[in-house]
Amino acid sequence: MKPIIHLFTPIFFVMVGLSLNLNDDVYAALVIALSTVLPIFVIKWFYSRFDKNLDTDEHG
Amino acid sequence: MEVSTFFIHITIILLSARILGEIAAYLSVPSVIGELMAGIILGPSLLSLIEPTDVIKLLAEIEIILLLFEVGLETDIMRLMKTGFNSTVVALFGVAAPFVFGFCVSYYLFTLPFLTSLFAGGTLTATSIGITVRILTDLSKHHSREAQMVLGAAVIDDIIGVILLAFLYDLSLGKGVSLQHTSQIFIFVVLFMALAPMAAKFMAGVIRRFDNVSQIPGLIPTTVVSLVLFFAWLAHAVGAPELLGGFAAGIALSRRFFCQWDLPSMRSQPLPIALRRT
Repeated sequence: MKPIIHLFTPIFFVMVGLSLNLNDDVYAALVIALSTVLPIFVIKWFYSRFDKNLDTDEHG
Repeated sequence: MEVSTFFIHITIILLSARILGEIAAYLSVPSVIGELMAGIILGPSLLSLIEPTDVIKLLAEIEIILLLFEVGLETDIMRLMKTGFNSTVVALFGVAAPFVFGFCVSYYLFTLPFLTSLFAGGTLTATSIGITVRILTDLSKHHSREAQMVLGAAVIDDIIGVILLAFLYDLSLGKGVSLQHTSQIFIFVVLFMALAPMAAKFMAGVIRRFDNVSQIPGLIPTTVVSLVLFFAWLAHAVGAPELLGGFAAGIALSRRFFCQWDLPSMRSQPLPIALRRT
């Protein structure tokens, strides 16, 4: 079941991209793009910068 | 839309998501960026090859609910509760900051009407919980303490967001704010989040009992998916986002809450085998 979930989940993320119309709804597209894409890079930057300083106990 | 057209659209979506996801990963960028780019390229922004039809939206919605179910399944409810205070603080800031920012930009910069500006701020409070979860999973950080905090905050954030929008909706009707309606939604959502895991646990017991006597293979995946979709419907019925239904069902079947089922085997095995008692 997990492979099936992982196989089809990209459809959701492609769907987010499909829903953006950068030609017409520029402001809406910018807001969605910023609020969706920016956090991805922020999280990646956060872990690349602070990962060593975080609590390494990941299993409680 | 022709059924065959739908098939070719799904084929294009899956393959392009895979190819651009691989390219993104090769460039040390989270693969989800590649998948979003695939959508932008295929959609009306560039090629206009695929329209976001209702069928594709529906399929995407089911998949993200199942993804949240999987996240709930791997969530340690005790750790999630331990981060409760921190998650709540993060969630409150997560609601207040975009709401105030959205309102101020709409009202003062774009000079939109007051109520419209409030709605613009309100809609910005919604979280992209699916995307956050996917990034943390891609980075193998979804079990970390901060990830649990973010996850908890996203759930609380979504609940507050729904209540806020209900509040604004009442306001927009021009009949004043109905505290009764708003608090009713709040109570329903909180009750749902509290009771759903218990109800799912009960149903899981019934499922397992019937699995022992079932003559046809595949009873568990059928009933588990049905349970997830039922909870998604129930969440919507009480005014919460459908995603929370999938998440609640996942928590109900997770290791801590439903410890009779063995999580390590669940991670590595297909569901029909994994959900059997060990």
